[in-house]
Amino acid sequence: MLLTRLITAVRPAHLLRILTIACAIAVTTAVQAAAPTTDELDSIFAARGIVYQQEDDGGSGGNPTIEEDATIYEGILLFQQRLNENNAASFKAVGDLVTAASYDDARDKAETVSGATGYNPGRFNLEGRWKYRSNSRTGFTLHTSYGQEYAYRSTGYGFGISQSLNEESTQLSADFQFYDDTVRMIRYDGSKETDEPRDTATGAFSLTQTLSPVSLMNLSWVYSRQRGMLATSFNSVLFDNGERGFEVLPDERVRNTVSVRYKHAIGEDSVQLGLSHYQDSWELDGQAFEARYFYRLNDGQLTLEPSYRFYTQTATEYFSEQFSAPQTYQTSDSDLGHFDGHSAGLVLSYRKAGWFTKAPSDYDIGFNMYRRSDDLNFYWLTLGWYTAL
Amino acid sequence: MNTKYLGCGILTLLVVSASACTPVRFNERERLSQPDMAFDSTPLKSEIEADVYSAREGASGVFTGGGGGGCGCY
Repeated sequence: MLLTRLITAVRPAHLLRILTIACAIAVTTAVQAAAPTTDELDSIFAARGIVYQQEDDGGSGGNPTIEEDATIYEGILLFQQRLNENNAASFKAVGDLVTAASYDDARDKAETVSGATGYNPGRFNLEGRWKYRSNSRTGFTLHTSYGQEYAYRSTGYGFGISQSLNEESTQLSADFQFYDDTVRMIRYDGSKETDEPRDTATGAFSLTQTLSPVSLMNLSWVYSRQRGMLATSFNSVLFDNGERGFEVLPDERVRNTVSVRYKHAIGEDSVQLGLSHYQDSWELDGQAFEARYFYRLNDGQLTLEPSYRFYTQTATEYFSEQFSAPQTYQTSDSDLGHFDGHSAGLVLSYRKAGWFTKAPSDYDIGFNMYRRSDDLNFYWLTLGWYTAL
Repeated sequence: MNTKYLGCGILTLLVVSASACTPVRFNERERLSQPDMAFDSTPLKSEIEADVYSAREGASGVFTGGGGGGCGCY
């Protein structure tokens, strides 16, 4: 099943390209240098919460013909247990409470018009993972997940391979994820149609290389192919005559992202820079630039992390705020339109042992704000706790 | 330019660049071993941040390994 899905998701030409890159990377195993790693098999417990608030400037932000206010509360728990010298198992649980104008409206109408009921009021996702690492620093992971929300169900599985080389100075990894999802066809007007599939296959390739005693870089390439019902079932578009229609999008989307990140120590502090380029088969291009500064105080017990991120994207060719007549493909989802985005944030981290566990724990609190040029703005507050067990 | 070819090109470029790096000895890694010198060292922190960005931007997989799927928001 897994192999069949992999073969159908990755065409021979792409497979050849991937193998070529893998061979090229393998040739570099003679590369020297050194990189830091924490032991990824150690027993840990991590908890993180987020409060997300989205505002569409009184209805005029994003797409002015759609209400896009939203509030999301999300919590994540991660527990990892080392089984022996070479193996570890982990379990992750995610829960969301969602209040979104378009989402709530579709749900309320669906329950009234078509009697469609489902999981309320948000989303959950459960994931199990097994990790193996040999004494020669070859890693292998297997994972599976299940998630459900009101208009969506997801079953995921995947595997990854990794290799540390040259006394862990060079780290190579390849991860493959497959999602076999189901879209509940709840429409904006409350009508309900037969469920539709959405399949996603993703390959993520990463290389981390130490460049000097104070610098390292990471390069990643993410290739993803989605098939099936890729529109949001309850999204609508507005026509000039005042009537509304369904969002319709192609049943295939190929997405590619390349990112490079660079980290450099400046005394006790450090700076991280990143550039990324995205392109997909819907003619949507995106570029991102990110800068983070890690200001360490009291010998690293306290860390302040200010960050800035700029993102810009072109609109997909199927996007318009309003249409004169029905199109083969049509969307008014502002996330697929043109905009620039500026995001700034600050995270305060504190390391201390003895509050809840004897082992050192990391506590952090962060706030980010994101301003889009189409006046759809959002803010989020995060709280995190991470401890060795 | 097709991003697939751009991806291949950048990977190849990095591979070539990496092979030219000056050796870093084991006893020179003290600074590199500090948590702030690792990419994504805090569990879940990058993941939750990437979820926010990918839900409200057309792009996915920016600085992370996720490529969509698993959530109705993609």
